[in-house]
Amino acid sequence: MKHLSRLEAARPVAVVAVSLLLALGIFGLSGYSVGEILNGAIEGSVGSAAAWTQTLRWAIPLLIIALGVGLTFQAGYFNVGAQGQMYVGAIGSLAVGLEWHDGPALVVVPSALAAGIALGMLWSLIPGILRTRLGADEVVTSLMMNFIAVLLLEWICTGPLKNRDGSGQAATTDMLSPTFRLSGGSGVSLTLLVICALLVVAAIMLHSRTRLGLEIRLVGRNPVMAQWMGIRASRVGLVVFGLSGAAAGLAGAVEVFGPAGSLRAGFSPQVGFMAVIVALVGAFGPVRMLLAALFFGGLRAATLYLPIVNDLPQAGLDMLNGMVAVWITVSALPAILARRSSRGPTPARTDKTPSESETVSAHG
Amino acid sequence: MGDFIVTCLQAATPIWLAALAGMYAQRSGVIHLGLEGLMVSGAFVATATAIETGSIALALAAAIVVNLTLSLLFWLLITYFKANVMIVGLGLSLTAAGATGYALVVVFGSEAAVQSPIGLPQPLSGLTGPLAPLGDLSVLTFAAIALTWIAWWSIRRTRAGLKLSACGSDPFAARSAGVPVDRYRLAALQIGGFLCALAGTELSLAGVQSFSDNITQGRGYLAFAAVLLGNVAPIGVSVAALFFGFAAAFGIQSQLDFNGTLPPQFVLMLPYIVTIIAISITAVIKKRRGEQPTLILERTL
Repeated sequence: MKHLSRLEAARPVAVVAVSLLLALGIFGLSGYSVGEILNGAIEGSVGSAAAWTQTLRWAIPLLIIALGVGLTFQAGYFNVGAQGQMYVGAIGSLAVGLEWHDGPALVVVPSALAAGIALGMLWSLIPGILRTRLGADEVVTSLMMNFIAVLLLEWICTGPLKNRDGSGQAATTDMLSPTFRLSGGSGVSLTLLVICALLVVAAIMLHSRTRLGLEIRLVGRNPVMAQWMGIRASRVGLVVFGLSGAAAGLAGAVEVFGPAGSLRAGFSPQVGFMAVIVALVGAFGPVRMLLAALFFGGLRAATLYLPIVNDLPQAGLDMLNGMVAVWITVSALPAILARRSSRGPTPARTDKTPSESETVSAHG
Repeated sequence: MGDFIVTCLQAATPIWLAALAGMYAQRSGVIHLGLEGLMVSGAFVATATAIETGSIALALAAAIVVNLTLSLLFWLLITYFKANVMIVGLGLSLTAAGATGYALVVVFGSEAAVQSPIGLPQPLSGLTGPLAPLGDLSVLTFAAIALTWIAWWSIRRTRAGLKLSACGSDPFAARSAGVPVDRYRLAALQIGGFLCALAGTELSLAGVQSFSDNITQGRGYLAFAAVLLGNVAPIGVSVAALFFGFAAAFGIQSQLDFNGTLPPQFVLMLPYIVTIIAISITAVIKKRRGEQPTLILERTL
């Protein structure tokens, strides 16, 4: 069993490696020099201090969102609304920061972050309540909430908070006062790193030291059993939706008060889905999600760097992210190694999945 | 008015075809979040083939072949490799979006868009008088109407359709009754691949006659919403898709009509809000009747 769970842990690494090889193969076949791309990718992600800064800059939102999304997944809810929750969080925090532009930073910034967290939570609780109270599917509702948030952001950036001075700059808002910013344009600062560290520690404590953490995993494994054990599954469901929305809202606020300083329609379009992948690759363990966030942050940094040095289209690396998602839940490898027969009437999806095996191993 | 109806139909057709694809998949018990990816791959392959060969028939055929292959891969992953259906679907959509954007640059050296010299035939283009706007409709809009009828007939009136629905509503019972559930799922996904190829071709080769990066703009996810909004029934799904088409056309129209007074974004939000409300109402009704909620099936993340 120990042996198997180690394999489980190694699998995400294998999946990422295979996808990377496949993508490099495709780049090679279509006439790019694989060596140059690898060089460029390393230069752009970890090759210099500036590259590391870029990697961290993208790892931060991925990590914050993934920590929250991971909780809903662990409880068995498929919340794909992180993108929208991040957008409304960003809108809320920016509104506070712009309205209260003459306040003291020590008061304004925390209230703005709180506003972002609250709005993200609210946005996430809508699908959460519809799911736990009415039984409306959260995949659809959270997806729809994303589309609504994208349009809301577009409206905010072209309407109420539009930057009137900006000449050709379409659809951006006014800039925040520089005294409010948590980091410079690089998006990395001690404050932000401390926030991330605190969140990781909090997630570890929640996971292994609290009753709620245990309840979340039990509900995810078997809601009926959890109910019999006296856990109110729907309450746990609401809590995880709230927490994940709060995390995504915070990520949005951090984006505004950190690297961006203002809002742009449709900013960071793929972060929400990427964070889902990060959570899955990290198998919902806080430290592993941190590592996964660093990896995908590095990939993102490379994605932005490579087009400059090799004119490799950015879409090429977006494709790589997708590939990872395609393979990430494949579980044939451990099954074959365990000599479990794949014959017989095994249903397609009532089988063991990463989260389950992860909880099993976590309980020894 | 006639123009407006035609705009609605044009906006609805790709969503409509993809929603029928999602309907077949969901009936067989596969939650299909890869519709978006299959649409974009169909759109790209059709455009690229049309440019290379100048033949619409070949363009359609190529799009269909590629999508059948992708659907087979999807089926293999969820059946033999026991991957999570929804993650694979989302992954397929992300990969296809990236891959077509990449291929656009590699094949055509263009980041923005490529034009196709030919477009889909418009069977009623000879009409004059009040029916003239119908001339703008592509052949695939009419195909969608026919395919809706075929879908209704195949699901409600044939033995295979009944078995397909059994695979989704109770796979264990279906298996006990000797229905090869996995094969039915493969068939449903292949039909879905075919329909998404049509949807993608309609998107790129009707009207605009070009392929641009991110051409689908979330229409595949809208189609998925239409499947649920239409309660996974052929007619319901088609009505839902037509409603989305209406909302899109209304969004375009309202930008012209009340420019400045009503932000177009709020009009564009309507289909999403209606979907959320409709899904909640359906869930409540099902709960009252004591039925299982629609999508609780196989939630094993």
